[in-house]
Amino acid sequence: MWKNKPVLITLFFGLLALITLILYWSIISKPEARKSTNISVIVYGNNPERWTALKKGIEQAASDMDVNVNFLIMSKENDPAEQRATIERAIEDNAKGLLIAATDSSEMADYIKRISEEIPVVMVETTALGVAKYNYISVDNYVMGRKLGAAITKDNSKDTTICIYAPNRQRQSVEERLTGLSDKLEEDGFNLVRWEMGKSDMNEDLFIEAKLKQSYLKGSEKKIAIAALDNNSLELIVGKVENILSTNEFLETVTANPKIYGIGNTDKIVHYLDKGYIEQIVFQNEFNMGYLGMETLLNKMHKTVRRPNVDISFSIVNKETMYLPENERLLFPIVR
Amino acid sequence: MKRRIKNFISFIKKYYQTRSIQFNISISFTLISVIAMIFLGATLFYRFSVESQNNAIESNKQLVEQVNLNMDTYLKNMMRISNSMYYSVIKNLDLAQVKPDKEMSLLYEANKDNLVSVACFKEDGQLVGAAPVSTVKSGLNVTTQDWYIRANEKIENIQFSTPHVQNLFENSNYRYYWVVSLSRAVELIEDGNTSRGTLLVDMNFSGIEQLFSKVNAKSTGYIYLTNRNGEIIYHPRQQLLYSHIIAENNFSAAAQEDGYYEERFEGVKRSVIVRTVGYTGWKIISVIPTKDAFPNLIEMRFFAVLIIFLFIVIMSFMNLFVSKRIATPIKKLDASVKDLENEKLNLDIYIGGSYEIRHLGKTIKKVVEQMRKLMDDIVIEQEMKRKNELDILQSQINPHFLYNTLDSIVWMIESDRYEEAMAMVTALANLFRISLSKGKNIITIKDELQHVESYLSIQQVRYKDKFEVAIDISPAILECSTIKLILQPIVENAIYYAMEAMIGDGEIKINGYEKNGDIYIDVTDNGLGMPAEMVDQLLSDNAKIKRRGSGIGLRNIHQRITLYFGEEYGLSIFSEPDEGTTIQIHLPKIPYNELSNKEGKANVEK
Repeated sequence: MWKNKPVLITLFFGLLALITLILYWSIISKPEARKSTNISVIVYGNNPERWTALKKGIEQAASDMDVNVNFLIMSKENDPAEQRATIERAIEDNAKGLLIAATDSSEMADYIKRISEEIPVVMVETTALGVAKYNYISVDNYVMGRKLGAAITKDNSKDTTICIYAPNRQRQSVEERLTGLSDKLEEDGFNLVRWEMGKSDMNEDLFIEAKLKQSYLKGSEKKIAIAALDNNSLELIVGKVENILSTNEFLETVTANPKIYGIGNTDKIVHYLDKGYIEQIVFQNEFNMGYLGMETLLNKMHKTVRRPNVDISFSIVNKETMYLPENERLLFPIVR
Repeated sequence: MKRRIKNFISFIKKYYQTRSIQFNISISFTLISVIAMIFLGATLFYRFSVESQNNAIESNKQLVEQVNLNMDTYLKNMMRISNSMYYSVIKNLDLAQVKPDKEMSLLYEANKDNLVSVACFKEDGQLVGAAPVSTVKSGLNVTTQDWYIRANEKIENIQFSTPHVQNLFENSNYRYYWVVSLSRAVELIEDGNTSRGTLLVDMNFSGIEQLFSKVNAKSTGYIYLTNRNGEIIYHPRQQLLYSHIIAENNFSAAAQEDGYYEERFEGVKRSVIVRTVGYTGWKIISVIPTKDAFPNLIEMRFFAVLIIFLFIVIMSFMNLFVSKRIATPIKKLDASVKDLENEKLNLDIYIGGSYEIRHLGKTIKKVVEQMRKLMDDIVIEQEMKRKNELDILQSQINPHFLYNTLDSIVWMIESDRYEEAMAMVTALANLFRISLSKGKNIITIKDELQHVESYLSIQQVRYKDKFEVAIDISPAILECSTIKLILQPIVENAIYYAMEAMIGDGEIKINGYEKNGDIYIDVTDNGLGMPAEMVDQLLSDNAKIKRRGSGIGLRNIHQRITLYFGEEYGLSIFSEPDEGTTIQIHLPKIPYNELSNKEGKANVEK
């Protein structure tokens, strides 16, 4: 053994130096540099309030999992080009993972598939076409649409015409809700009317106003109910109805308050529900969606075991049930 | 299993036995060091972890006490507001004449950081007054709300609710507040008549939340708050609980008495401290998951393992060094003993190292010296034995030769050849003189030659000059040593074997010369010669050659020379059938004086 004395001595001092270095490093190194993972969350639309609950879930996850989150919204309600540019900017800003709610499921599909090869991506709320199910955190939108349909059919007689306003059908989530709602209403024998803007309809406000005025003309015997399938369109419908009802000139022509149903849970929508302007709302647990979306993304980034696929829950509430403890906890997430 | 262990132990034992002492010492020391370090490390780490856990628990107990104190102050403050509102405002006013809004607003303004609203309701739910001034939601029936029912169920107590969203007043800013309601039944005076009412102080939940958030930032683990039934009032991850992403053992913890206990929840071992808040029966619960008691557990483990590894490396090398120091003297001693095994008795035995090894070395050295002396004694004994054998061999000559010569003398006397008989007796006398040589084995070549000449003179009388003898000895070797009586038997053999069978004149040549520092004496006859097989057998031990003449075999002469001078000397036989035979004597060239002195001494010792 001692024939290799120089080798042994070199090995000994080498090991000693290595261990001393590691010890020195472990003593002086501090964990403060750990918070270096940057995650960007890019959602559709230009209404920050619409994402309050999702954002809270994301922030809770960021705090629990020690990461930095950059939350980005668009300047327009639906602009795929802008969303693509925002994603590009986020990647340039050293984002290590992306959480995306696609503004247009079809338009964004190829782009998201391409960037998914460069950076971990998880879709929330609305996916892009072709994205695998395990990279998409959402409620079952079809079932949620059916649930809304069931609430409408329970509340109304079959001679009620159900007007569906779903302008954002470029989003997979809205399309699925619409299918679920339509299926349920048709199954139950209700008459459906889809309010769809034509190419000649330049302004959404005017289009809604025109539709409402047509529906509530004095002498009309038709009973109608309106269903809107996302936050923006629901807020728009309620706002317009309230606006029309408050106009004296128009008030005389109205036969009855219209019944409004919808999917969404912005502060404004909840307030409208509380005021009785909306009959019932179906809302998804966006806090969970945000939290689990982040968790899934981090699991994907660190290639760790992920929570088994959890379906995001949704609830249906009216003015009376909205303050029940189980509902108010989800409708009014506690602000930290 | 037992057998396997036994086999393993015996394998280890055997393995150890086959390895060097340095290896055994080094491995044993290293193993002991490793076991000791691991044991020490594990003990210290365990001690440290217990100490850390105790510190974390102690620190959290203090935090819980602090939170309890703060909660107590906070709730007392809220109760003070409620009391002031009741005893200083409502009880002193006849509500039919004066509305309490102004006083309520003053009190609200003074405490609005912690309050969302203060309101008083009649028994039927009608609003008496509120601050800030608000309108009750249309169609709202407060008498069905939880805070109202509880206040009127237990009219003597102040009731605290769990957090809920305030559902009382109209608002136009879409804002909803999480509140904890403090409600109590009150007496209202209206037109001098008393009636029951309900006073509600809605505390802003964020007040409680801030209070706990600050403490949670300092604590190991986390601290949460439940009501007496275990329903969550505050939890640092409240929304996750409400969303059922995580779970909490709140009902079980709230059922515990105040103090400290340990539990296992969802597979996680946790230390739990419970403290009940006065007035409300709320429970402050501190949870310290064991892994959080050591925030740097992985780093600590890594650090500990690294330190242990460092010590093991140092110890291993030190052990190598120490074992070398201990083993080297033993190894050197072992090498000396190995040399002994190879019969190298002249080597020095190593003496060094520690006292015991030095002592061992000295003892072995003494033993070796004794052995060496014994060996020398044996060699001398052998020498003596050899000499004795030589003497015996020499003594074999005399009877043969004497018989033959006397036979010749008898034959001469019988033939009346007295002159010749006398000459032969004289020659015989010379022969015996040289044979005896005063007991010496070594004589000069000159004497040996004279001895042969005497012998030849006798034989020539017997054989009537049937052969001729030519002697040519280099004068340079005449004074050199030879063993006595080696030439004569060879000449005798030449006469018997060669000359007797000759029909014509026989010829014997004796040539003595020096070659390559040695002496050679060739006795050549021109007799019948011998085949090669016979030549080969002549000097071997199992020679079965029929003897004649004096009976002194060449083998005896050869043995005498080799015994005395060594294996490289002796006789060589060169013979060709019908050509003759040459017997060559090979002797070392040693001056007679040199050898006779030595032999003289040996004789004296004898």
